[in-house]
Amino acid sequence: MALLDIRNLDLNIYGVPVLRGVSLSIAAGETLGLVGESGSGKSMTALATMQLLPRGASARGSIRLDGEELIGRDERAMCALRGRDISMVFQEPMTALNPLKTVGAQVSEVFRLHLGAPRAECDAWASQVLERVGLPPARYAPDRYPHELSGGQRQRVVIAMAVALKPKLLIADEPTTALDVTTQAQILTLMRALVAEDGASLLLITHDLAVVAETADRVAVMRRGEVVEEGETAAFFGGMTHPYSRALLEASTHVPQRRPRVAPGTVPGTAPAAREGGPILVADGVVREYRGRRAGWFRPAGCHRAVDAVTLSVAPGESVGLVGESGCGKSTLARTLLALEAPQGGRILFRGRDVSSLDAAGIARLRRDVQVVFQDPYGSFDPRHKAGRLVAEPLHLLRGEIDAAERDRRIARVLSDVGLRPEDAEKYPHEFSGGQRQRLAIARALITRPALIVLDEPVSALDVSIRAQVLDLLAELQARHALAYLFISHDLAVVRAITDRVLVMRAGIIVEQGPTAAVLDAPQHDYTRTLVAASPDLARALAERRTRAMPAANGRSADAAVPSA
Amino acid sequence: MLAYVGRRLLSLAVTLAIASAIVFTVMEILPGDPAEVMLGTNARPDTLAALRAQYGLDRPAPERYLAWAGGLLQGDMGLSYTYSVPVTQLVAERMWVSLPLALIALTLTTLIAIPVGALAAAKRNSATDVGVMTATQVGIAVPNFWFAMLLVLVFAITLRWLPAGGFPGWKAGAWPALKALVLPAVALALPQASILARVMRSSLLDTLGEDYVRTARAKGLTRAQTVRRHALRNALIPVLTIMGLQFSFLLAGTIIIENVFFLPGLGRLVFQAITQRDLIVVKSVVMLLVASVVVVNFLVEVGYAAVDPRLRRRV
Repeated sequence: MALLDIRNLDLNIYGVPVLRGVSLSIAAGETLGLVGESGSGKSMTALATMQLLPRGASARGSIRLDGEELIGRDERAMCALRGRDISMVFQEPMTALNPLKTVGAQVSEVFRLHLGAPRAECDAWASQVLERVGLPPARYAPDRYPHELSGGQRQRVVIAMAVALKPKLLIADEPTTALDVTTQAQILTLMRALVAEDGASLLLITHDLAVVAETADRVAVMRRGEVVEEGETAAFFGGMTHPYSRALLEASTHVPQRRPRVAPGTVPGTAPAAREGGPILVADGVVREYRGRRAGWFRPAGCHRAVDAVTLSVAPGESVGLVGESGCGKSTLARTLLALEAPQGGRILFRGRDVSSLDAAGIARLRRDVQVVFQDPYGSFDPRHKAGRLVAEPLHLLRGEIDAAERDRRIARVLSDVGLRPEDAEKYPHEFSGGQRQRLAIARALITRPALIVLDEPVSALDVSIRAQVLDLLAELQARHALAYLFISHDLAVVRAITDRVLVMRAGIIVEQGPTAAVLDAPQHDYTRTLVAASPDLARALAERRTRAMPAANGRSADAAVPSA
Repeated sequence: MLAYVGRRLLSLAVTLAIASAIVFTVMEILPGDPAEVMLGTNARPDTLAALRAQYGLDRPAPERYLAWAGGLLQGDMGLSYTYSVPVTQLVAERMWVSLPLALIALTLTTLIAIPVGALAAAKRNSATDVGVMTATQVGIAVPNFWFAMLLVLVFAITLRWLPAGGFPGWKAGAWPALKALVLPAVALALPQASILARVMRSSLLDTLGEDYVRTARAKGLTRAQTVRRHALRNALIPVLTIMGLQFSFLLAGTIIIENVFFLPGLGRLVFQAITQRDLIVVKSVVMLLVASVVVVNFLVEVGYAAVDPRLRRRV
């Protein structure tokens, strides 16, 4: 008998259907990967199982845990069940813990609540659980507060609370989406180990097919509130029947068609595509430091070196990737390159001239030639302005070079360039979807006809299929306008797809650089190797699965790169 | 934590020094010569000069500032121009009316606002919530002196439960004295409680939407347990800020309320001192009010650090 059995689950929120006839089951000790785009109903299925639905929600159908119906169960009984038989790990570790309580107390609370044991005993158990999730009390005192821990450590604390009482079912809703690749790999390994030790079932919700291929026994795909396909993992990847599953797979392994460029990694200045000869932007030994907190009233403040003697250059038409974990100094370097912040050491050269020596006109020239696109464009759009006005914003840099008619022509042109319609200029930002807003941000960057666009995690917040579309758009725009990109990302798959050359950054230092394929296929530096190994990779995960189990997964294989074992 | 308190104390001292300089300067710029006020407009110039010399009014301003500030530090506020008694003595008598009044009002504010606001948030969109929101809207809109008169009409004149005004003094016993302070304290507290209850409600609502509240529910805590153990303390942080600000409103409010209820408090003292050009009394009482506001805000900041571990390390 299945441990969790969801049958014909319908869910409405204020009358709006969110889930339609969802049926899923998880056997004891089994891991089910639940994939789908945002808004497909994955999280609502999890919250329905926890009976922690938002206001206005009404569920019909059946959710049975160990044969017992959960829908309509009395709230008292559900409270006794949550945290003991079913527990949940959420996406955002930074905000999932109460900032005013020590992590030890928050873990201990689970024991106190469900077992009613004395505080000292519960605290001792809490220490044991923290040790189990890789936070040994000797090194990570349980009387620390959440803000004293990193994102990965906080997620370990959340996991500690979830597994404290060895629940039968653990639900993990995008548990690693907010984390760096190396941390993600550690957390996934930890969860797999814990679930295996306790013989628990795991419902793993994710949008990342590679993570599912690594972890899940079975996969279910959701779309618009319905389960469209379900199957054993190897068989699922071997013979997807539903077109949506195939589209999802195609999108997540998508490599945009890029017109071959002049030999990637060409020495700057010799690129034939160069419009004005030399590189557009050069960083020469750039150093960025932040003053730290003063240790005492009379002791000087220490310094934190966010960017340490970084040298790089971007030639016209070239696509350069910059990868590294959060906090490694990528974005600080980007701000310095955009001349938004002055470096403490080294120089930034824009078309051969030192940026610090530029006058106002020179800076304006730099701003129109070097544009930027950020991860979350919504925050950078004034919600009261129409798209046309937002997109036209950078035109003030042209200082009256163009008249109103030309301005309107340009707005229409960039909108159609990014796959929107010229009529969309009359819409407000909230009328666009997330992917369309990112297109809008790209249009805004294009309107001054720049030579270089700095893209800071431009697709990280997007669903896989939208991400594939935006990557296609970027590749096409690059070919059409001979654009250069500086592409900042923590996602190696994306960097591989869109860049010619890559720089790997760690703690402010460039540790390795070279042609993208060469660096990612045969990393030389230890850190690059760690990054590559930690990055979820569908082909590799499936190959490992095959060598592990030698299943009967014949037929069309999802990976062409790795020969069958 | 100790270093944090030390830094806060230092900034408290600097604030007081700056405030005293400003209070002194403003009093210097104000027109009106205390000696002329005391002796009348047809006093002889040599008598005026003698009086100025007696009170030290003929010496240069920086010297008088230092003498005044130095005196304040030692608890000496100088002699009142009108009453010719030490200001300290005048203030001390009236402090025992105003300080209890403000503290009772602050306590009432807190005791009313926090449970009412929390209840409204916990029962969001219910009849209770709507009732609380309507009542607090009225409470904010109605001026406290009008409310004071209403209270007198009902509780003093009609029901005869409490005195309509005046203060028997603490020597008459704690109970009669407290009885005299009840109506003024309620009149002071209700508008502030209305504001604070709304702050508490929206703060708790924000907190209830936080991820860690969901985490707590996933652990198996009931809704009520989640509010008590996780949401309430987090929700109190913004409430504490507003409380600190409200204390100065309460002090300022005493000036009006003490006049409505004929209470011999600091508010009445400063009001009379201004009309009589008794600048030394005005200066000292204003400084005292400034000091109490600054001290309360210091306590609020220490309270922050006690509540929120994230603040203990910061500057």
